[in-house]
Amino acid sequence: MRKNGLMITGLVLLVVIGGASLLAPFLSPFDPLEVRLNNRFAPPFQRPHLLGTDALGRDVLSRLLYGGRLSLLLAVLSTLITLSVGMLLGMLAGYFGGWVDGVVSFVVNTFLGIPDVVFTLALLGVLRPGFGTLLLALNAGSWVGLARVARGEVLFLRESGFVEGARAMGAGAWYCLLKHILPNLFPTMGVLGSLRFGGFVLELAALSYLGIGVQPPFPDWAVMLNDARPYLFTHPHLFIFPALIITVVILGANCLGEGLRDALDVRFQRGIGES
Amino acid sequence: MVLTLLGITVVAFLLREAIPGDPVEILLGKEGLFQPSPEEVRLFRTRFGLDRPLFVQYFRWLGDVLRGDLGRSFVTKRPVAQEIRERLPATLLLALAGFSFAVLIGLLGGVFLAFWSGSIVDHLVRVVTLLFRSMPTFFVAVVLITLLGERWRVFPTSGMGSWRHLVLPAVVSGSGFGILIMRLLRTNLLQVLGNDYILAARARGLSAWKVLLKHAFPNGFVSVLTMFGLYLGGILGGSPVVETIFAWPGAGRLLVQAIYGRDFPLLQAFVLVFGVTYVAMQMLVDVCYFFLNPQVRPGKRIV
Repeated sequence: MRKNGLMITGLVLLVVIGGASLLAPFLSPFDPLEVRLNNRFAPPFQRPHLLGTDALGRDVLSRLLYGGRLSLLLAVLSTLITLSVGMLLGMLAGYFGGWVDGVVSFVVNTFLGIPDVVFTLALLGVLRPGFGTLLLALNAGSWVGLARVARGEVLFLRESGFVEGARAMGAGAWYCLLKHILPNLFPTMGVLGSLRFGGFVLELAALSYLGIGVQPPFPDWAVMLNDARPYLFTHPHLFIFPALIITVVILGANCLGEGLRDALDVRFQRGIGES
Repeated sequence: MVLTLLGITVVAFLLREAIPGDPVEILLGKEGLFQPSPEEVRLFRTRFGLDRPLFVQYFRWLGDVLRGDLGRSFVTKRPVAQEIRERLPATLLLALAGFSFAVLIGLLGGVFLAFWSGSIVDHLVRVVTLLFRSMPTFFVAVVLITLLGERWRVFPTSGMGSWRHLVLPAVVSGSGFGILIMRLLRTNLLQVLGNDYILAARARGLSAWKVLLKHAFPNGFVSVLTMFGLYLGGILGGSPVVETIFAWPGAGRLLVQAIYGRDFPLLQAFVLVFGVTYVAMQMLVDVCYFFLNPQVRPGKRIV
């Protein structure tokens, strides 16, 4: 039950923050970009600015509500892309073997050989900044780990009784892959996917903090953190709220991932490492 | 392995092809300050062989790389290899310091948690580490800087110099990995402790600590070793975030600066150099693994 508690906590955290971000236009009391210089550094927990205002007099609560939209969207899309690419290639390599496996393994090993951070940053430096580039850079190195795990799983599943049975009854390769193997990949991929999602949020925050992720003036949690640095002592609320919310999102993803892992007992079944 | 190395060179080479616009015009045009004439562009192309087919260019480039020529930086005009080499000592120092810190807390923490597994301390540490892992590195760094550096002035907040400059960046860059080792070691030890030979050792009247350290630890430790190699190989590329925040003059900061300056040759060299290093480290770990763990020698696969 405790394990399920972990999973549900994670899910609730993610749904609440995701929902709030989604509904930001309806929920936020002020325009997140509206500058009011006569209203700078309003303290938090007072009306009308419930979480205060920042150095330019912008409402912190509204900025927080809007601040996750781009990062979360990017993280969700990246997770979906990484999962699909990783699973597809892993399935192909694991099921068909032979030269398909050779080619996929070659590509996977190559990308595994390049440190993730270096590759992501290099792509960001080379390509034109923008949404698509960010998406590509985040995914460039992350799908390979998933592909490798999926390949291992499929190798194991292919030899199992129910797949062999299906094949004996004349089922084609694609039928076996989609009907019998894919559903069995979901537990592992669910675990890795939710952990990966947290990783993406973390990476994006770091990138935005360095000024190469989401660009100001678009409100973003990491950008808000960066803006708040000079006022850390005088106006700590500017730093604490965005820091808290990023942490909570990643915490949610980690809880969900680990809860799933414990609940489905993924790791001990087929030996998937801690990370 | 050789194939992987070749693959990395191909990826690094193709990175140049991904540059939006014509690299020659960018190179000659200096950020749009003046427009190179078509004649100049054509001359440049033939001179550097850029009019040849892609694979010819690739092999030429590979030849240069094998001779140690990685091109020149767009920004400083100095050889890229030299730029990176200059930054390596600082990055290595930080990597080793962070690594030592990580190993220290990882091994100590892992053993202690295994010993006291199920206790309140164990649960508490689990919760705290889960929280900690959910915080972005830069968040931890900024908090440490403002508290220890600016408020109490215990440690300098930026730059490189005495050992005291090293403490904060090392702690920040090593703590995440330390926690990972801690958890992995704890899990491994607990698994090993369930074996019969542990029961036998205990039946001989050995103390719980002795059983844990002498009999369980060597077995629980082997898989942690793999993580060491992966981490060290990865961190050699520098930790861009940590180095930027602490103004540490290492390779990671150079990488971030290369992005700001859109320094394509430098970026390309980064992918190449650190890809190759990473693969080399993985090979090294495999060799160590082979000697330390009799179970993975040929003929016997562990399940």
